[in-house]
Amino acid sequence: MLRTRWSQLKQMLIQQSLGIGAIAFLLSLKATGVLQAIELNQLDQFLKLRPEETVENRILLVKIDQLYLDRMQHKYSDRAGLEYQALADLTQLILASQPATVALDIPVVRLSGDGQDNLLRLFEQYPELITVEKAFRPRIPPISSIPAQQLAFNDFPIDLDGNVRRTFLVSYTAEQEEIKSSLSFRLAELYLDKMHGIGVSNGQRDPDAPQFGEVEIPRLKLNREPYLGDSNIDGIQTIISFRQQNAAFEAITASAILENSDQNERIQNKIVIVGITAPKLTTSLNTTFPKVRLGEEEMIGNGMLGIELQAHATSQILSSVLDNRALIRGISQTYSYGLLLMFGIAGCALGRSSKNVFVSLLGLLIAAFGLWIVCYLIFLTSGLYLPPVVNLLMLTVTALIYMLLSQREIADQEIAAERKVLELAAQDRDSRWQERRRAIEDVFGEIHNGPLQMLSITLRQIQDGETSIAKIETQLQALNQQIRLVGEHLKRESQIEARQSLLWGNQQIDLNQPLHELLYEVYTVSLQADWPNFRNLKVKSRSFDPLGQAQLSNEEKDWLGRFLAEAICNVGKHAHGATRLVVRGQRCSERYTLSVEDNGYNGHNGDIVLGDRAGGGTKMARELECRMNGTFSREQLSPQGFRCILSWSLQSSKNV
Amino acid sequence: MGPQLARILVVEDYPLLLDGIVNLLEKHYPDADIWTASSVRETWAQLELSLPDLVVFDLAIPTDEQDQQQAQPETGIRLLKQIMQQYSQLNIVVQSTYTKALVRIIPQIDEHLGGFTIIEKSRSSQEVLERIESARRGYTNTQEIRKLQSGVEVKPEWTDVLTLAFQEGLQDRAIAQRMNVQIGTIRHYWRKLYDVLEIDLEAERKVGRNLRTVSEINARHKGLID
Repeated sequence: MLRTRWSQLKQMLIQQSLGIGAIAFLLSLKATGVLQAIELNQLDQFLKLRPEETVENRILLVKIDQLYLDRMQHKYSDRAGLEYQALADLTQLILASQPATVALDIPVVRLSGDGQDNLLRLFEQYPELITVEKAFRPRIPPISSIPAQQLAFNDFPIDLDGNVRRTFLVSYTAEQEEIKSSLSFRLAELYLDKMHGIGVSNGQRDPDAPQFGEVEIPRLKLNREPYLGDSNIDGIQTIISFRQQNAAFEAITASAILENSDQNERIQNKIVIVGITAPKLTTSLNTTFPKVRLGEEEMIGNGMLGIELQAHATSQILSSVLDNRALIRGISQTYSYGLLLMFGIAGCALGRSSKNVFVSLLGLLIAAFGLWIVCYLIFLTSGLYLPPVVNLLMLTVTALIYMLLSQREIADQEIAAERKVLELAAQDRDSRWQERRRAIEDVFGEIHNGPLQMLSITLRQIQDGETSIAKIETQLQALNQQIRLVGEHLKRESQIEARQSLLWGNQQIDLNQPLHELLYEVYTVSLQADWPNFRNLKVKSRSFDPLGQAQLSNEEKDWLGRFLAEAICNVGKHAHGATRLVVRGQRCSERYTLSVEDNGYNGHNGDIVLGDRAGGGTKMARELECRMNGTFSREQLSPQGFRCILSWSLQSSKNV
Repeated sequence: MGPQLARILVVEDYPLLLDGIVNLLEKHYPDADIWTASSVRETWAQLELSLPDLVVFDLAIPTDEQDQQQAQPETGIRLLKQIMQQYSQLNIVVQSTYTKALVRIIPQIDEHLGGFTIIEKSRSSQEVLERIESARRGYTNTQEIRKLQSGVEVKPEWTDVLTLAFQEGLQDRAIAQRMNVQIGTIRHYWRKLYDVLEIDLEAERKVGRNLRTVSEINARHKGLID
């Protein structure tokens, strides 16, 4: 049982080896990580395809543009960059409008001049004011003397293709070995605490992930989609769900704040992120998010400014906690490979599903499109990212392989069917040819048995000069009748499946009677012919044993009857001066022996029509030998006479 | 007149002829129990009831009494064959106008162990009675059909018996041993040979001739032995 199961399984494995090979190949291809770039790209596509979102009104970006820098330069000094005093003045103005929190996302290297003390005083006075450092290499330290709780780092992890798709939440920094918050996380934390009283705690499902109220921020763990196989995931990170809006955030210029101090409405209770947007003094980070960001004049290549990236990262936490907006999470490695395997098998099944290649292709198209749609809808509603590309690839490759295989199978079957048809046709031709041959043999046999014998007798009588015109006339009339009989008999026999009667001379002998009775009738009929050698016969000794259990077909009986008639006829023709005829059908255990014996003088010069004694009868006997698996022999007797014997096994004739 | 018979069955469908033969039999065998049958069905019924010592048989009989068709000798031939197959010891007399038809069952007659005689219907009562008595004694007389054949037709075993008896001078018991059969079988062969050799046993006995010697003379004459 187990063995047959195993051999069945082995058989199946061999049959499906191509499909299994394809699945294994794609699984290992995925394991090498070469498909990661495609999956990241697919993630970008999903992000771009989302519907438009509203402008984030909890965040205000303050742009320190070139115009403002120029004005400040003119006011304080000629040095490039931003004076501490100018920044302190701007910050003072912003804080006066009671924002929820203010972040100065300005690296210390861009600051110069006096007024640092004034700025530090503001930090002491307003705990909601925070600033940044760059914590990862190359490090940029913060403004000196800022307390740790008012510091956050503004680094972003960058993917291998140079794009930003992730953000840090908190992380150990390389050198200080202490946990620090990223700017976006710190801003969200401050805002949620101050405005909504929602504190941060360790995640319920994942203790390493932070949780605000009931909402856990999904942590990008090692070996998760779409970063499978990427070992460059450090700290606590999450994927950025960019806000889908042309101008996702409200932004005003620093000049506007200076000129119009009445910005309360726009600043109050908001997260204000202040950053330099002047192209000369800032760098941008690449994202694949193509939306138009800050004003046209601020565009810097394909990149996104730091403050905007921070705003996206902050905004996604706020909106997930407050608006229930979905955050992006990837499925784990196990599920990912499981899913891939499933689609591999589904592809195999799909490829075999239909014999029509067009139906299969249509099915594949629908399945592939459906798969992609389902992945997209899941992503859209829950943020769960199922990698569609590799699964699509798997589905398509396996389905195509099996479509080709099944097409080849169909072609093979068609060829086999065609071959069978040809074989049958050949067999048919063969059997028809044999039938024809049999028919010709029958015709010859019957002409030979009747008319030819009669003709032979007549010719001999004419030769011997022992006939008269009147006798010849009667014989010719008999001949005429016999030829007609042959025609009628053949016509009748050809209309029925099995032979029913044997025609000898002008006598029809029923083939359905038992063999011994048939043989006796053949014997009687054969002796009625007017052969000269029959006239001298004094003693005719005959006996025919019944067959017993063995069965013979009518055709076999026909052959045996014709053989006996022919053998007796030969005595009449050739056994000159014979006085005794012995015809025996003897059944001895499992053999039946048919013998015809005479005591005549065997002259070879007498026959003028039918050849010598090894004529038609011998030919027939040889045929019988092979048909009935028997033996035939002829022997000269001493002092004179002739005997021919046909013997066959009843055992084997039963199986003929 | 003649010896007594316990039971005789007469198979004949023509009432006039039936009466004739029954009268003849009653006269010749006054103590015999004579039964009649006029169809195949009746014949079987009588045979199954009680096996007769002698059956006088007409070949042309109908299958049963209601049969509207004319009586066919074919039917009688078939019946005769079946009866001989089933009751091989039964003494049978066939009287018919179609005795020629019996040529076809010569092999069956040769095998039949009981008496078997044939008589044309046109023969005299005396001749009919002779054949009946022959059959009753278990003899065979088929001269009516044998005269239709050219030469002598025998079974090989019979000529073997002749050869062993007259060329080797063996007694029946020794012949039976040589041929590896029962002595009864040899006697059966002799009865058949007497028929073939046209020996009228009753007549020969009356004249007082030795049957063996007559047989040898006739056999040589007919070419059965050299």
